[in-house]
Amino acid sequence: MQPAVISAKSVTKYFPKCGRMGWRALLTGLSLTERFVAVDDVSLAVTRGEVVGILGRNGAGKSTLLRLIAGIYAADKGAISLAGDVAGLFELGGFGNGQLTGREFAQRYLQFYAVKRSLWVEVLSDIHDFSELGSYFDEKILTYSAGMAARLYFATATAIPHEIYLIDEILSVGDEHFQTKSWARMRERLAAGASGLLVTHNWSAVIKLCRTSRVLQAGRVVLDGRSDTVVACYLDLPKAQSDRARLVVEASTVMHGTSGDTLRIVFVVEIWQSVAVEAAVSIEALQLGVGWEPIILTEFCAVASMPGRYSAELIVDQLPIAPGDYLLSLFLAAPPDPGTGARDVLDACGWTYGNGVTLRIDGAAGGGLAPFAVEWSQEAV
Amino acid sequence: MVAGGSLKSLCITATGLQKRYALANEKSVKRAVDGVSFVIREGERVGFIGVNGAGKTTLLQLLAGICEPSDGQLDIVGKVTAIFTLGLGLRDEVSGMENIYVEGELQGRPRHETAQVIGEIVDFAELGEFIDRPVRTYSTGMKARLAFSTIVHIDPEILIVDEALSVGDARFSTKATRKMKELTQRGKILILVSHSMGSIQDMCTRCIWLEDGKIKLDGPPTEVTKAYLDQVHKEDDGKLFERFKRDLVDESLVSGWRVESLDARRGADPDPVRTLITGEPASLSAVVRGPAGHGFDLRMHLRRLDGLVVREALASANGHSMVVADGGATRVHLSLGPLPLNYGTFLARFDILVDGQLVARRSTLFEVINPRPHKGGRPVLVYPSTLNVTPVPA
Repeated sequence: MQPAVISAKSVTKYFPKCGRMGWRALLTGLSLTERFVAVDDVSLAVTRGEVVGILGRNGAGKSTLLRLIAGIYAADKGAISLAGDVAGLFELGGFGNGQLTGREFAQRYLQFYAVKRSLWVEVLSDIHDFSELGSYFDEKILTYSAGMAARLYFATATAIPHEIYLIDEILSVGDEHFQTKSWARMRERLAAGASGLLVTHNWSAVIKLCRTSRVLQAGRVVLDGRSDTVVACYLDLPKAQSDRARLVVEASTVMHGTSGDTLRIVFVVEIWQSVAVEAAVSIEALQLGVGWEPIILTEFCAVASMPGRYSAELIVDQLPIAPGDYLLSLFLAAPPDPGTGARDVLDACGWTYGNGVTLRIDGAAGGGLAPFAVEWSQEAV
Repeated sequence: MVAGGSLKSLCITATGLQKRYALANEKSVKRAVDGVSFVIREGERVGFIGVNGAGKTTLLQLLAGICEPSDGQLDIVGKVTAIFTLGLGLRDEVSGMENIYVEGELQGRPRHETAQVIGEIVDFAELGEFIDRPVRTYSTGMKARLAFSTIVHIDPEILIVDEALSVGDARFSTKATRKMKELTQRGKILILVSHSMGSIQDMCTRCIWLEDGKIKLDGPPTEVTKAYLDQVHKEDDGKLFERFKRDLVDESLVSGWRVESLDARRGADPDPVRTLITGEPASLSAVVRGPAGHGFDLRMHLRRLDGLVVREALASANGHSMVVADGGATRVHLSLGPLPLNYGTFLARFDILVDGQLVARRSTLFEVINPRPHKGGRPVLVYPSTLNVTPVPA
């Protein structure tokens, strides 16, 4: 077992529950009887080169836990130890002063982390460049939009390598282009051996960065395991009633296909009531800690509307998917409500529901992830 | 403004509406809304679109009565409920529960009526025991959830919705969106501001495009959103290259060889474009310069901007051998068929290989637009499939 870079043992944090904190209680240090537990007896260990995901809904205690580990809050009970210097990718990280310009903020950060003066010019120009703030870099932070400020913090906190990154949602900052850059930089830092915690309610971020994850609920760790399993439980997608129509798919089935050939996926649908049933299929690539990418997602197609047992065959010509293992999800739903456009899901099977099907594709590699048909030709200029 | 009587037909009339702001440290004024006139009648669902800073929010604030027009006239017949103003009025010191009652009273609903629906509101907010604690102990997401839940039971006459509001985590947000759609069905007049052309097309009967505080176009949602998107894309084209030009290469590694041009094209159109449309014929076209009569191989490398290698193709693997024509140059096309790529920005690179060795390469950027994005997610490909169904005998 590798030594832990981030370690928390039975960490607990209380906040006063109701009313104002009495000055008497504050001055005398008498215990507050009215209090609630924001983080309740949480233990975790993160080894070098690993990022652990913390999923949870609003108010579950995620941000409190991250701030406890960063040392912004003091824990009421338990012990926290960190082996390395920490970059907190949230808020202003203690440098919060809107009167500073972006450049001054970055300088203060470099000063705090004792970065050699000789490196400043280079690092500052990198921060300026990465944050894409342009001339705003020399304007006060209070004139920034939320997105600009977040870009500045991200660029600053990741400009110099740290050993530990505590990330609060920050990877969902900015537009697509900035997110791409942020992910690339995070991966670079992690490949160099950094570790971290990612606190988020964006489950796809967890899949992309973390092999293992926890779920926090009311301050407690309620789930701990492989990120895909944890995400499935976290999502806790409403289990379809399966009382009007049902997919007949055996659990842990492996289906097969060949890259470039016609793919045929056969599944059985049972309909018990006179209800219009439509089906859709998705094929997704998923590698924990690397990425999650739906490749093909079919539109909903009509199956039938009379009770009975039906065999449905999905046909994809010249399957444009590279060889490998993929996850297959199947959905049965009623036609969309004409007013709201929402669909009633009748039954579903897929990894997010905890009953996924593997699609194994063989064939020759080398055409990229999606080797769709292309045609070369040549002509005179 | 007149409160809506049951006999009066609801109506919003704006005539030469203007809102000016003085700019700090400058003598000039900014006209956020600059002479806007329109009439919205009962039953209309109007979507406002425009880039950031076009004046959408200011106009909404005027309609909601949060700010006064600097000039012009605004007549509103009916009671206005604005969803973006929610939560502005949460009272920090009292409990979530008490806030629901107060918010109800503000919406003109007496306490005993709120009491009848309070259970449902509390359930919707999913705040658990926090509902009895002061709002100042809430996290931002929890406040948003409480604020949103207080409107679950309104019966709006004129409903103003700023869709930019984000409410809580993903699960709550889905729930809130569904609720909002329900509400818009109940409102007699709907004013919606959204960046999602899909929402505008789904929910509205009319669309107004604002630009620099003025009405640029007013008409059916499909037409207006299309015109708007066309303009946005045209402007984006220029910016796209400006931003990503450092990712582009144009290299000649062996003298005499060069990829002179590489660009994306639509169908048979010989003009280069920077945006391609999902599902429509598309190709990449390059001019390769090299020693006349010399054979070469070509490798195409296509990646999405986030680094995902979507497609690689080698001409020789598809049975094509390329030769430089007598003039010392040749044009090479790569048809991408009816484009199966979903929306996003892509980088395409052509590598010229001679005896397996790289002699020159060049890359280009293009953006793919999918006019009919899938509602359930963002797959890499938009690819045709068929579903055959046969009854199974019992």
